[in-house]
Amino acid sequence: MTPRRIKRLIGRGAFYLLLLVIGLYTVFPFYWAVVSSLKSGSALFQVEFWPAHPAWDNYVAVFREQPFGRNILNSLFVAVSTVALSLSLALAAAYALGRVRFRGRGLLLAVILGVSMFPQIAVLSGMFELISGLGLYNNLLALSFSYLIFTLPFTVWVLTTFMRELPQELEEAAIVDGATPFTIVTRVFMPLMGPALVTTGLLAFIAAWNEFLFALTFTLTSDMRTVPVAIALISGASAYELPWGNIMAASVIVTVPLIALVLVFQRRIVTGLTAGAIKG
Amino acid sequence: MAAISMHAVGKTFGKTAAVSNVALDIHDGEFAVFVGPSGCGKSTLLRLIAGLEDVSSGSIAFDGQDVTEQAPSERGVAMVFQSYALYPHMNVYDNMAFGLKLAQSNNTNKTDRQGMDQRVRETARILQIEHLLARKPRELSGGQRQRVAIGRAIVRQPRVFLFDEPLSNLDAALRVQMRIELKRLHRELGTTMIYVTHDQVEAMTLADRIVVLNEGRVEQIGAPLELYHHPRNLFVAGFIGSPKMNFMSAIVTACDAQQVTLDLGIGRPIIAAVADTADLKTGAKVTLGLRPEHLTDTSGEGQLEGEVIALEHLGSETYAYLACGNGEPLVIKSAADTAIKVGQRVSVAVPPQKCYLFDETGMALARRDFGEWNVIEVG
Repeated sequence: MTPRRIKRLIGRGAFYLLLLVIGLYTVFPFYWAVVSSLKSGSALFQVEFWPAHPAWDNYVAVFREQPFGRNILNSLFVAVSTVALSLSLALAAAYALGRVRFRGRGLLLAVILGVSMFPQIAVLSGMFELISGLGLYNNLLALSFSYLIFTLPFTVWVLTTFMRELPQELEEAAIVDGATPFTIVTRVFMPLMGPALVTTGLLAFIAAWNEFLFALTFTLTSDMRTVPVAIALISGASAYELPWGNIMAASVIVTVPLIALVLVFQRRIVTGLTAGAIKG
Repeated sequence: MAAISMHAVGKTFGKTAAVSNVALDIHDGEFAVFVGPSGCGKSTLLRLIAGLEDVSSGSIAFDGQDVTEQAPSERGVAMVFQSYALYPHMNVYDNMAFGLKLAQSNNTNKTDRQGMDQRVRETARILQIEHLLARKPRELSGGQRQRVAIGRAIVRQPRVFLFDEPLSNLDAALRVQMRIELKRLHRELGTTMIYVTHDQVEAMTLADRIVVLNEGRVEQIGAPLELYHHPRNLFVAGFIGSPKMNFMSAIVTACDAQQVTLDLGIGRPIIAAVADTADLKTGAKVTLGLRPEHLTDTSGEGQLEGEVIALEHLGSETYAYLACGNGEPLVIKSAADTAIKVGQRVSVAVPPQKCYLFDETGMALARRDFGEWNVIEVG
């Protein structure tokens, strides 16, 4: 073997080793959660890479000991409504910011981005006043509403950039055909922005699905909780016991839909993320 | 169908005036072509007529009815864009039907769907794109896309067709074919058409009347041959005709009723025929314009002489570039199988009735009409 060939083999080996390490690092926690959720009792505290007696007890217990089904529906409602609200608002905003020339457009865009720089904790108390003022305390709508704070900045930005790339003549052709701005956005632009809508919608969905702080603060009763809060508040028989098995089972249940969503839309996400770069 | 009249129309973007003080009448059923170099305001003028831009001053009327404040769809215009601007996510049928569908949904007493379907199919038949109706724009060639874009305009039966450089994305052979087809369409539909181009060949071949624009102003309006034979000023003379007209500065040394004698500072005195010498005095500075196709090399003693610095063989003819004096090279047309060689000295005859004269301000002096409308070539 020539030295050159050896060098190439070593390089390739190192590359796959690195891939393996990164893969392990990202997948192992989830794998461990799956494994732990299948163990019960004291088996939880033994190091086993595959449980000797896998049991579904934890999964049953999660639904028995609290209204977890209700919590999942809550999360679904909040995430879906957040996505729908932020996409429709962002689409309208993107048309104005991307296609209409007006004074202060750049400043407005900067302010919208600036909103996302505030840490959640900084707006929490003000937001709480607003929510109770609107009479939305312990109401899921409070969550849909407050989540717009962090979903709108990036949806508006991504869609504005995307809409700017659409050719001017396309809009003018529609105007000559007699289309109103609403028709242009819904029947000409929206179908062309599919990838961007899927990408931003998915990101907004994940953000809303995972959100904890607002969900904890703005809900009170257990049947208004979303899953992250419900999982955090799972408690054992006594104050000294943490039911790891139940927590792990719940975590796996709420992660699976996200993984499924990403896998389904995987190809569209990639086109969405790169679509701005090349002219379609 | 509509006659269009524009009164004192102006358009400014910020501080720059794209179009200033344009007054223009386009007759009902006419094929008018706006032509000019890039940035001359021709596209802006078209967009003003379409209603895609608002005028800064002046007014526009269709058939005597003021449309200045109306939206494009209210004006009843249809436009074909340079990039075709087809809706990428709709098939050809839907692209053509989109405008009709919108008009229908705005209309309370619903026109029947069948009527719409019939119109789309009839238009597709005229343009020979029936077999493409189910395809998406990305599955079409450039020429087919162009047809669909034209079809989308025709199907709405507009009062005015507007074309914004529609052929500039096509290859040369297709362009000629589409040009003939557009001409045929105009004859069949009889609708007013306004066509914007920077290509003077397109303008000459398509237009009933040409509007020459420069720096936002109308330089001249007229039939193609009128502009060719009687350009109003230096700009029009230089713009219409290919290759470009030769310009040389000269001084009038003698003038009588119908002709003047010019001294170019090089070669021999040139005699130019003019309609009227009333405005000319001996000693006046003028510009002499000579079209390459009117100049040929002569074996005899021509008035101009120069060394050949370049030859362009086009197959059907040859253009020779002569170094004459110290201005731009003089271009002359020669036979396809010319014996002229680069480096050779050539003598050129200047026929008096083929001279164009322009005064110091660049305005043309009236030429005598030698029955050029049925062009007789001399020499």
